[in-house]
Amino acid sequence: MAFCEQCGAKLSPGARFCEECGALAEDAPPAFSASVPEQRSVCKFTPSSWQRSWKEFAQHVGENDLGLIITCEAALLKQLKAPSAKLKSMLEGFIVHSSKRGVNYAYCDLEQIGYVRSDPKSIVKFLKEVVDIARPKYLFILGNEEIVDVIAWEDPTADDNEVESDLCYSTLDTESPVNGQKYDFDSAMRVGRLPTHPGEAFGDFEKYFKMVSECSGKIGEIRPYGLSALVWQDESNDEYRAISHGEVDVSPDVVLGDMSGRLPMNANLLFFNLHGSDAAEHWYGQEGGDYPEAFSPQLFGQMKNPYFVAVEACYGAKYLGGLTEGESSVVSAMQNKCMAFLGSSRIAYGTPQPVGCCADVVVGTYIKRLADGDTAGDALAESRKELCRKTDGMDDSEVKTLAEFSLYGDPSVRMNASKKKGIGKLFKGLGGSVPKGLHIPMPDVRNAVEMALAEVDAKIEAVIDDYAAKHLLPSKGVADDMTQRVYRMKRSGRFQKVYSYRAGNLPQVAKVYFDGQGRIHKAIVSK
Amino acid sequence: MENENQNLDGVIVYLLAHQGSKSEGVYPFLYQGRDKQMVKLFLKGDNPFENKGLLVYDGKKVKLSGTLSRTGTFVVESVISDAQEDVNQEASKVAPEPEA
Repeated sequence: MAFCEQCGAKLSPGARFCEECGALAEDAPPAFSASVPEQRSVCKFTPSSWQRSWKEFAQHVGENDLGLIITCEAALLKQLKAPSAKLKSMLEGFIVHSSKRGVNYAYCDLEQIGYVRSDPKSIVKFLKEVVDIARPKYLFILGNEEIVDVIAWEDPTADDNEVESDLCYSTLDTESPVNGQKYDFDSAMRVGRLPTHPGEAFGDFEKYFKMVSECSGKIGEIRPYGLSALVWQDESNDEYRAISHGEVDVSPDVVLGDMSGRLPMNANLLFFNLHGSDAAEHWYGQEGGDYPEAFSPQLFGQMKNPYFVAVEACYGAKYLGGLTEGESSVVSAMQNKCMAFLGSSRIAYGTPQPVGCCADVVVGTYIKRLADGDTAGDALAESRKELCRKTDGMDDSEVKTLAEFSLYGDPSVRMNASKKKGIGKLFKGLGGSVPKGLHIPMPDVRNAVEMALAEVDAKIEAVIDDYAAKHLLPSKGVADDMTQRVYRMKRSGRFQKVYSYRAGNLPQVAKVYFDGQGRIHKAIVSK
Repeated sequence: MENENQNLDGVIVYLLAHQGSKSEGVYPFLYQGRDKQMVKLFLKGDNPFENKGLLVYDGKKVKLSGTLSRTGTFVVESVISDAQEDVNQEASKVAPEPEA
C-alpha cells in the first residue's frame, strides 16, 4: 500500500495524485513525457490545405469526440515570454492525454490561417468554415481577450455599458446574444477559455494542462461546498441540494477574516451565491445593509482541489483588462487547480427565494449536471437550454444572462467519467462520415410560428415608432446612426423599445414602454 | 492595466440603482450637469456595496481625482476639494434618476 508523501493518506493503486490533499504521488507516471507518442492523424492548419487536413483529422476520431484548440500563438507566446517549441511540446502532450479521455483535439494557430484576425467576427467566420467540414464538439480558447478577443454586446438591461462574452463562438452569431433566433444548444459547440494575463509565467500556464491531464474524469468522490449571502440563502439551498445533502454556509456567519475551520480545504465542487463588484476583488455576503467580505481570490490558492467552481456573483468571472491572480477570482482559480469555472462577466440576476431565475437557473443546472457526470461544456449547454426553455420569449435580463455567463477552462473536463458515457453522439462521425455543422443560428419551428405573429407586431411597432418620432427623438440627423431593439420585461410582462443614437458626440437612449396591445405606458429619454 | 488619472467636478448623490439585479442597492453617483451622463463612483478601498467613504460628501459639490474603469465606474483616488456647500436640495431637483 502506498502513502502520500505530503499528508500520509493511503493512495489508491496506480493513483497519480493524492485524493486527500492533491499532491502528486511519488511513483506516479509522468503526465507529460519528453517523447510524445505520435498521433494517428495530425491536423495541420496551413492557409492552403487546412480544410483537407481538418476533414482527415475528423474522420479519424473514432469513438472519441472532436475538439479544436485555438489561439493566436505569437501573441500568446509574447504574453507568456515562452518559445514556440515549449508551447507546442506541452500541447502535444496534452492532446495525447485528451485523446485517452475521449477527446481528439486539433491545435490551430489562427494567425497561420492567414486571413483570420483575433477579433470575434473574423474568428466566427473561420469557425463557420470549420464546422462546414466537420463540427467540433469542444472549442478550447487559449489566452485572454488580447489573444483571442471577446465579443462585446450592448447591455439589454442598461445596468452595464456592455456585456462581454464568448457565446458567439458557440452560436457562431456575432450580431446579438439571441438575435431573434432560438439556438440549438444540443448541437452548438461547447466553448471554454483559459484566460491568461500579461506577465504570467509559462510554468503557471502549463500547470493547468498537467492538472487536467491528471485529474479530469478521475474524481472519486464529489465534495461539494456552498457559500451564499444570507439574503439568498433559500434560493441557494434550493440549487445546492441537487449536489449535497447539506446546506450552504451563509455570510455574514462566514466572513473573510474568520474562515478558519469553515472552508473545507478538500472541497472539489464549489458553489457561490455572493455579491461581486466591478470595483473590488472580493465577494461579499449580505444581511440587510451589512455586506461583509466573504471570499477573496487568494483563498483558491489555499484550497487543495477546487476543481470545479460555479459562481452567481455579479462580475464573478471578471478578468478583462489584464487582471491578475490577486484581482480576479477566475484567474486565481485557474492557476490553483480549478479545471472549470463558470461565472458572469457583468451584473447578474436572480431571486432570494425559489423558484430562481437567470443566474440561479444557469448555475443551478450547471452544478447538478456536473455532479451527474456531464462535461463542463455539456453542463453549460444544458444550463443554456434551461434558461431558453420559456415559450413566451426571453426578457432583457435573461438575454443578458445568456451572454454574460461563460465557461473558463477546457470544456471537455468532467468530474467522474464513469457516471456518464456516450454523450455527444451528435458530434461524432456516423459510418465513417464527417459530422457536419450547423453554422447559422439554428432554424426552428418556433420561428415559423412567430412569423404568423410578425404582422401584428409590426403594426404595434409602427405605432411606437410614430410616437417616438413625434415626442422623443430629434427630428434630423440620427436615422443613419440609430439602433432599435425591443425587449420584453420580466416583471411586468410589458415591452420596451430602445432607440440608441448620438446627439452631437453624446450617446443618447430613448425608451418607450408598452403592452401587447400597443398601449404606451411610459416614455423616457436619457439626459 | 492602468487607466489615465483624471479629475471630475460635480455633485455627489446617492441613488438606488440596478433595480431587479443581484447588485440592486444605493450607490454614489457624480452629477456633472444636464448635458452629461451621471457617473457611478467607487472610493478606492471602500466596501463597494456600503460605500460609506463618500457618504460625508452626499449632496456636496466636489472635485474628484481617479480613473475610469472599463465598466464605466469612476474609481476615486482622492477627493481634491469640496465646496462645503450643501447642495442636496439643488441636486435633487436636477439629478435625473438612473435607468433601471
